[in-house]
Amino acid sequence: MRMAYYLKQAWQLLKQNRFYSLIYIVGTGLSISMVMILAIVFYIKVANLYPESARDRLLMVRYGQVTTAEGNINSGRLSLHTVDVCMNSLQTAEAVTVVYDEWGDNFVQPAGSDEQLPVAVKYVDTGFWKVFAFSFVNGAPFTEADMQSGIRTAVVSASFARQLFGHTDVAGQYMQLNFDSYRICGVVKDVSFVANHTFAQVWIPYTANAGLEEAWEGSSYGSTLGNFLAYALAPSVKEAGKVREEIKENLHKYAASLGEGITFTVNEQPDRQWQSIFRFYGGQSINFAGLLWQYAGVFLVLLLVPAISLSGMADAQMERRLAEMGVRRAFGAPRHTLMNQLIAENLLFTGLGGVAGLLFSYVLLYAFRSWIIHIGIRQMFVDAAPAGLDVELAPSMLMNYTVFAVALVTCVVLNLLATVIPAWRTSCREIVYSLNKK
Amino acid sequence: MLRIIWKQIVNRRKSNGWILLELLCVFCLAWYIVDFFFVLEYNRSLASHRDVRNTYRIDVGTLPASHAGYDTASAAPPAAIAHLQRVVARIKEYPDVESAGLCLGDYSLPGTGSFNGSTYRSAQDTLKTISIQRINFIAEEDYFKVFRHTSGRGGRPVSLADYDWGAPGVALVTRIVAETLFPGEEAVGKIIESTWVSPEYPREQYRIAGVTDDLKRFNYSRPHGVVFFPARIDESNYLYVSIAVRSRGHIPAARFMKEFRQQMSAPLRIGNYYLKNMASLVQVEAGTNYSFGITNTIRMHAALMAFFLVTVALCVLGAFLYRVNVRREEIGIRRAMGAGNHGIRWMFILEGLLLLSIAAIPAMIIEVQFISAGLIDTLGKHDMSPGDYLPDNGLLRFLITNLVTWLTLAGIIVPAILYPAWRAGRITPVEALRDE
Repeated sequence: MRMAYYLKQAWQLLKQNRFYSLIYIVGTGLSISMVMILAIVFYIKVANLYPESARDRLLMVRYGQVTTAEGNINSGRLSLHTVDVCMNSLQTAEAVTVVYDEWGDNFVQPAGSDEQLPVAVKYVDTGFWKVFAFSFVNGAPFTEADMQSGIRTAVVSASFARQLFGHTDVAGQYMQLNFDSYRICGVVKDVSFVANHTFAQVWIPYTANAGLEEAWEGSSYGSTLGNFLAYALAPSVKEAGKVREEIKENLHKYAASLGEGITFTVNEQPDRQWQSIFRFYGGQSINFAGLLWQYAGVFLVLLLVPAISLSGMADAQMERRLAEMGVRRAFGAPRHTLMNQLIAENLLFTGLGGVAGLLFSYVLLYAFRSWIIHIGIRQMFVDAAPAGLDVELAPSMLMNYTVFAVALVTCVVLNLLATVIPAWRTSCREIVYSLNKK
Repeated sequence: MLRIIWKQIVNRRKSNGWILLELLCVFCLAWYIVDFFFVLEYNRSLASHRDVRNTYRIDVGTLPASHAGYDTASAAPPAAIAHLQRVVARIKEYPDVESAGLCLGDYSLPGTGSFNGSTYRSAQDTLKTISIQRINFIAEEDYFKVFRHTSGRGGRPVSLADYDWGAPGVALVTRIVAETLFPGEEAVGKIIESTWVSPEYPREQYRIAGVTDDLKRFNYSRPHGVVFFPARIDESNYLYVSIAVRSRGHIPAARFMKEFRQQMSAPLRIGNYYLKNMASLVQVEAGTNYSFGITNTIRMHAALMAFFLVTVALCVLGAFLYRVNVRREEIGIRRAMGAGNHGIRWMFILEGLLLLSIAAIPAMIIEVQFISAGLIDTLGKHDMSPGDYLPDNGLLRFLITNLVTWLTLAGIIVPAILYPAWRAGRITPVEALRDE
C-alpha cells in the first residue's frame, strides 16, 4: 500500500520534470542495456540450448600439449588414440563422443550445376547423437554399422536440405560433397551458429574421411595429438564432478604411460561449459577466478559509471524536495522511512529505465547478432559464421526467466548504487535547515 | 572570468562533487580507450608498402580418385604440374586479370592467418640475428607485381625482372632485415644463414639479391622482417601452390568474383583441376582480423567509449540543467548588470571545461598507476618489429593521449552544456529577480 503511494508520488514527479526524468531514464536504460548485452551473450554461451540441451552436464577435452624428450613443444587437438584411452572407457559418463570440427574447406556440388556451394561440415561418431539432443525432421542418424564400415552417409540441416533439394524429405537421396557421393540418412532441425559444439550444415561419420584418424607427428610426440575434440555427458549435474575426476585420472595415467621424456598435458581440462568459453588453444593455462573477477569488474564499471551520474541527478532532485522532507521530519517521520520512500520512489525511474534498457539491448543484439555473440574479455581465435549464413537468435535465448531475473537484479543494484547516498544525505539534514530551504 | 568561475566551483563544491567524480572516472576510462586507438591508428598510419586492394586468391582443387572424371594419367606429378601451369596461363588470359602470382602456402599470401617464421643471422657477424617471416614465391610469375611491393621507401615498384634469379640460393629481404643484420652497410650481395640446424635441416645460406620496403603482416601491426625465397614449381611443392591475381579494378570485387566463377569454371577444368573457390584478399584480411579477435576488440573499445561519452553527456546535461534552475537569481543579477546571452552561455561552458580540467589532474595520477601496474598494452609491439616508434616513447604518448582524451570529453561536454546554457541565456532579469 505504502509502495503504491510512493510510486504514485514518483509518477507525479516524473510528469512535473519531464525532461529531467527523461535524462535519468535514458541514463539508466543505457547502463542496463550494456549490462544486459553482456549478460545475455554470457547466457547464450553457457545455457542449455538446442541441441546442446545438456550443457550443464557436459565435460570436454579439446586441446592437448605435448613436449618431446628434445624439448620440442606441439599443441593442438587430440588423437583418436588419446580419446580412446582417456574417454571411451569412462564408467561414470552417460555418453561420449568425438568430433572433428575444422569446417572451413568443404564444398557441395549441386546436381546439374558448376557451382561450388560452401558448406559447414562436422565429422562425428554415433555417440554425437546421444550427447547432443538433435531433433530429426526426416530419417535418422547414421548407424554404428555405417560408422564401422566408413560408408559415406550424412545428416544434413533442414535449411541446407531445402537449399539443395527444395524440401526436407530427402533421407535416402544422394549429394556430392567434395566430389564424393554421400547418402543422406537424416535431416535435423537447424542448429544456430551460437551452439558452437554442434553447429554445422552437414554431419558425417569421421570414418568417411580416411586421413582423420591418423595422429600427428607420430611416435616422437607419443601419438597424443590429432584432429579430435572429445565430449562426455554426465548422467546428472551432480555427477559431473565424478566424471571430471575419472577423466582427469585417465589423462594422468595416460600421460604417465607415454615414452620417457614425453610430457603430455591438457592443463585444467576437462572443462565445464562455462570454462570452455575462455579456452582457445592448446597449452593455454587459464586462471578462471581471475577471468571471473575481470568480468565482475567490467559489470561494476558499467553500473558504477552511470550510477555516479545518476546519484548526482538524484541528489539534485532530492535537494529540491528538502522543504517537503523537513515537514515530514517535523511531523515525526523517522529517517529510515524517508530513506525508504526516496529509494522506492526512485525505483520507478530505474524500473522504466530497466525496461527501456532491456528492449534496447534486444535491438542491439538482433542488429549486431553476426558478431556480438563473440564479445567478451580476452576473446581470441573467433570462428566467424560462414559467408551468407544468418546467425539465428531464438526468442527463448533473449526472453527467459534467467534474463529477466538478471535485469531485475541489475535494476535494484543500480537503483541502490544511485540513490542510497543522496537519500541518506537528504534524510539526515537538520529539520530547521530543511524547512528553511526554499 | 576564470577566477569568478573558480570561486563558484569552490563555493558549490558539494554539488560539484558528483560531477567531478563522474568526470574523473570517465576521464581515466576514456584515456584507456583513447590510448588503445592512438596506438592502433599510429600503426595503421605506418606505410604497408604493398597494396592488397583488387587482389584475389584463386583456389583450384583436384578431383578425388573416386570421381567419374578423374584422369589417372593427369595425376602423375609431371602431368599435374603441366596442367597447373596451363591453369595459371588461362587465368592470366582472363580480360579483367592484370597480373598473376604464385607462392607456396597460405602463409605467403598477405592477410591470411597462417605464418611461417624463422630466425636468420648475418654470415659475417653471427651475433646479429633477426626473427623473420618466410615468404616462398614461385619465380615463374611476378608475385611482386600482383601486390605492388615497393623499394626505396615507397618510391619504386618492385618487379621480378629487377633481380637476377639465375644463381641458386638468392633471396630478397625487407629493409628491417638489411638494417638489423648489416647496419650501415650495403646489404645486397651479403650472405644470411638460418640459425636453427638439425640433422634433417642443415644450415641454409642465401645471398641477398635486393632489399624491398618494410611490410606489415596486418594493417594494425608494426612492420617486421620478411625474407622472400624464390622457388620453381616441382614435384615437391606443386600441391602447395597458391594462386593470387590482381584485377584491373574496373568492377567491384563481388562482381569480379561472380563473373570470374561463371566464365572460368569450365575453362579451368584442366586435367584433374577445377575452380574450387576464390576470395578477395581484402576480405581474407578482414576475416583473419575477425578470427584473431582484433575486430571485436576494436568494436568493444568503440562501444565502451560511446557508452562513457553518452553517460558523461547525460551527467553534464542533468547537472547543468539543475545548476541553471538554482542559480536563476545570480543569472538575473548578471543580466541586470549588463551581461548578454553570449556572456552567460560562455560562463557555463567555461565552468564545464574548468571542471573537466580539475578532474583531469587526479585522473592523470591514477593513469600513472595503471601504467606502473602494467595494465597498458601496446598493440603490435613485438620482438619481430625492432625500431623506434612513437608509442614506445612513454611520456610523449601519455601527454598526447591525455590531450586527446581532454579534447574528446570537451567535445562532448560543450554540446551537453549548450542547451542548459541557452536556457540560462533566455532568463530575463525581471523574471529572475522577481523569484528572489
